[in-house]
Amino acid sequence: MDSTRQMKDVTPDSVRKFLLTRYSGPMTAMQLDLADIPDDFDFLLSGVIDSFGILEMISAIEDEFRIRLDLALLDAEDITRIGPLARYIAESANSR
Amino acid sequence: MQRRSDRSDVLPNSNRKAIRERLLPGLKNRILQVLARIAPGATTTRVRLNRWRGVNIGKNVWIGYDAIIETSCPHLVTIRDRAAIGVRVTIIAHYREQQGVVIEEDATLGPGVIVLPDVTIGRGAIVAAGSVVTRSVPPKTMVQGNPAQPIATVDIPLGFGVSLKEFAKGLRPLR
Repeated sequence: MDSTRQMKDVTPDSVRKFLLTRYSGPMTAMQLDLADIPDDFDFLLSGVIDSFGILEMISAIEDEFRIRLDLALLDAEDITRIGPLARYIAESANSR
Repeated sequence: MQRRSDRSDVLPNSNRKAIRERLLPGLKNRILQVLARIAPGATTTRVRLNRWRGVNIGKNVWIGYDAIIETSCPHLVTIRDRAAIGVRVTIIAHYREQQGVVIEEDATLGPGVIVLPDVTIGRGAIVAAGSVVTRSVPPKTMVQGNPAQPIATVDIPLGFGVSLKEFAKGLRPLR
């Protein structure tokens, strides 16, 4: 296995930070305060990403943290909510 | 000057037959098509009008506003149960020797998609908005672009009653 492709540390904070950095452009344009994003902030319903963006977001998380996501146990409503999504990803990545 | 009653001399019988057999059905098809594009009723009126034109349409099909489903040979198009045809989709089902388009069960064509002849959109497949489908799409696959390329596999088809988030949960990016 390529040692450069090892899994990065995945914590709820690191996933949250990654998502906020990735979408900082559109979020800043919407005059959102990145330091004060609530746990239930929804990227889709707030208009930061569109329907196609969900797929891009999943791909970006997998690429960044070098993991393969299985979203089967995640509540569908939480798939674009920053807090629940970050916790789910950290939990499932660290339970392997 | 010829009188009106003498038109049999002007129009040979073969032309009259051609008008009866081709022009009138063609005219009926075009009138129904115009109505099917603009009429309200994505699951009712538009579906019925396209069936009258000759498109083979299954049950619970959804057809969006201003969809063009093969202008002259509607019988070459088959749309199976629960498929969805988005707003302003264009389906072209014949060009020279290439013939036929099949949209399988639970497939979804997004707005503005163009489907070219000799193409089958597989069961549960999704074609993203604005894509041009030049080759058949495997079942449970999401395609995008011009020409449309596979970008994800689909676990949960985007059928009636399925939320965008539920659908997204079943997507697996292809690399």
